[in-house]
Amino acid sequence: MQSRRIRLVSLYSIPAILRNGSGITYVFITFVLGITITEPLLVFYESGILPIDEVLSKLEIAISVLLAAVSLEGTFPDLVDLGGKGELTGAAEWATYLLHQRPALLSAVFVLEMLCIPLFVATGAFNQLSGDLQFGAIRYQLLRVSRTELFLGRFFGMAAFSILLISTLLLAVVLYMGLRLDLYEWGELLAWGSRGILLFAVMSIPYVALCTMISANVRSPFGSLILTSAVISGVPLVSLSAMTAWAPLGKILYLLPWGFQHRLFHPDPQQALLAVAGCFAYTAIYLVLGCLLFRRRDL
Amino acid sequence: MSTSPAVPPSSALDLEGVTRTFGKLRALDGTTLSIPKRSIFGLVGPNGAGKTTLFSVIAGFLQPDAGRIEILDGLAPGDSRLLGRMSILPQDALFDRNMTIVDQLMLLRRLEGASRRNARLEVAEALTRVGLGDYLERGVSVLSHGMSKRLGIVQAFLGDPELIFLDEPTSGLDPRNAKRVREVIRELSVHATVVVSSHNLFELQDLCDHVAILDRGVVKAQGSMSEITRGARRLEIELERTLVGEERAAIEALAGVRVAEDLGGGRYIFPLEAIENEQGNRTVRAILGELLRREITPRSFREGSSLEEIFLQLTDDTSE
Amino acid sequence: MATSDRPSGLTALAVINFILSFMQLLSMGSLLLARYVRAPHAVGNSHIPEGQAAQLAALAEVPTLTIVILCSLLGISGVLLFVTAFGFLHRKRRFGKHATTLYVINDLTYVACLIAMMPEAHIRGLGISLIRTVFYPIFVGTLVHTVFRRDLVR
Repeated sequence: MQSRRIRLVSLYSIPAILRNGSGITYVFITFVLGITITEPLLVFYESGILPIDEVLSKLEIAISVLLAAVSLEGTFPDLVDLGGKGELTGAAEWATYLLHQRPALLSAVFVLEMLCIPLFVATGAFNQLSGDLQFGAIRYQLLRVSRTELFLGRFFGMAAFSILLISTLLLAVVLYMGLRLDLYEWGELLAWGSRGILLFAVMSIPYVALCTMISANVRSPFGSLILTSAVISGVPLVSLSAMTAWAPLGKILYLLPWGFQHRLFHPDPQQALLAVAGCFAYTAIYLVLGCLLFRRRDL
Repeated sequence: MSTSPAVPPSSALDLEGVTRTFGKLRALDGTTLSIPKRSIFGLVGPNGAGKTTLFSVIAGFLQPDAGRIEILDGLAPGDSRLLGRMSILPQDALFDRNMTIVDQLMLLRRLEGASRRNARLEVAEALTRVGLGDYLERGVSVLSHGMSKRLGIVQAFLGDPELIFLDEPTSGLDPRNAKRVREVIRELSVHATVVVSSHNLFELQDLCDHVAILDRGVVKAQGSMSEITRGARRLEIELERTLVGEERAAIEALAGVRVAEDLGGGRYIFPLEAIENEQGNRTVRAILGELLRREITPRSFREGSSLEEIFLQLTDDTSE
Repeated sequence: MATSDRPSGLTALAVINFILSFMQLLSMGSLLLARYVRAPHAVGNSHIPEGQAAQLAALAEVPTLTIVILCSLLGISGVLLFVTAFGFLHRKRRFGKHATTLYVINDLTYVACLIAMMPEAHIRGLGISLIRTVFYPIFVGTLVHTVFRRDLVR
């Protein structure tokens, strides 16, 4: 395996992503929807509709319920009930850390983006190899580059592109907050913002790897899109609804990083580091599995 | 599948007992084949004979179920040491519609180790050579079928690989474009072993020095073109007029000549008992001598048969 | 032989530009509507939330010249987006590449004028959507001059 060939494949794949309609759609969806979902969080404060304290108290309940739900602490209706009564102690502490010890609105943006970015990745990274498989373009390359190199090259190209895109989105939000909202010091905003950008980069990698695995083994871009979207959005939906029937079924969430990715923003650094390690481990699992299947399959 | 280093140095490719099935269909059924180095090797067979499957298995696109494949000094398909030494013009593969032609070919050359500058120069030169110099910065969608074939051939010959597979390089082309593609193959194949599959048997007879006939995944015959086409031991002759009964009987009475087949219009096929070596030459001389003695002028004559005739004899007409 | 080798990314950009051109024209209409229809009636209207009422009150004070400038810039952006969409589809240098450059300059000028000329209450109401407004021209301008620079040549 030659790193030069992997580098060449990934460098070539970046303009190829942008020259492809799906790449443009990926950028557009990520940026436009990524900004749009933050709007309701900021508009209440910016327009003076609600004072910041009131915004924060509402956010605190919402975030603690969300964190408790993805931590599989109970079914969603129960958690909403408990959250309303202020009985979600663990998650509430976590929400307090995010909203009171860190720039609150930025933390809230992070929590929202954490729920959406995996879906953006699914709609953008689905066509890393499937289109080339369908039309046979891959056959021209296969006698010049090994399957493993091709697989890894496409993954690194898409991962770099996704990280750049997601970082740009978050950086724009951070800069906007710094320039337009007089709520936080630049120092704390940049510190929390850069940590967030780094953690989002880590979080997006396993999803890109999952998409690489699927697109390398599905011979149709449309099929790959359906499958990546269904898997990435379906796992949390199935898990959270299945656990209402039988609590252990909630563990389905751990098939993807959904089960632990929120811990990247945990107040305990050890938990955050474990989540980082988890993201890398899941990336490795998807890559190894995807590569093994890709190497064995007929092209 | 096993790999043994004991490959005769004269072979660019050796296959032994290669089998590949798709469900119940046995596309390759113990295919055994040897392709000499520096040859232009023709692979013929009816539709569904397994030609494309064979190319795909050799290129590593498909995994064989059984058998041994040794490529360029005993390497197995997919071996990283083969990268850049072997190339293919796949039958149905399309280039990326969103990237320019030059970018796609440059990537292929750069993967083989060329610098960006050299890759661009080589690609521009190669495309110009096949009349595609004006299409460097264009996408493949603007190319006609013939131009796309030429582009595919250029990519196959790019970087001077040692072994090149061309799967039906002239299919769907008009005679002018097909001739041009044949010229390109001849011109570019000086230093390489080229394996060409085609339905156009006259084209292969003209282009190739070796040939194999594949039918239902089994190699029915293989060897040099002259071996294969002379294997039928016959003399096809066209005369200035038809033979009368006595003249025909006199020729059939010559040593080594069997009963003639009258094709009409003064054309005859004389099956020969032996056409090899001196005995064969003596028989041919005797036939011509007898005709001249009777003052019958031969307009043309040809030893052996055409590849098409051999193909029709060896392949099953129930093939799909 | 196919007649076009336009990359699908360029087609996607053309579709987006078509949609955005109509949205720019709608923005122009909504600005005019807000300034000359809604804002004059907002003062003292108890049905409008406090924050929004403050925005409309501020908007009512904006001079007509400012509105004319902003509406012109929005209208020009809308037209330019429409032209570039056509240019992308037909791979035209003038209508694709050059019109995009003009659109980028015009749209960024619009944002600059908006920030400089409009009252703070109104800007706060636009919120983070300003980022979206700035992002697209930069994105499309960058693509046209890098990834698609060799495609817009006719």
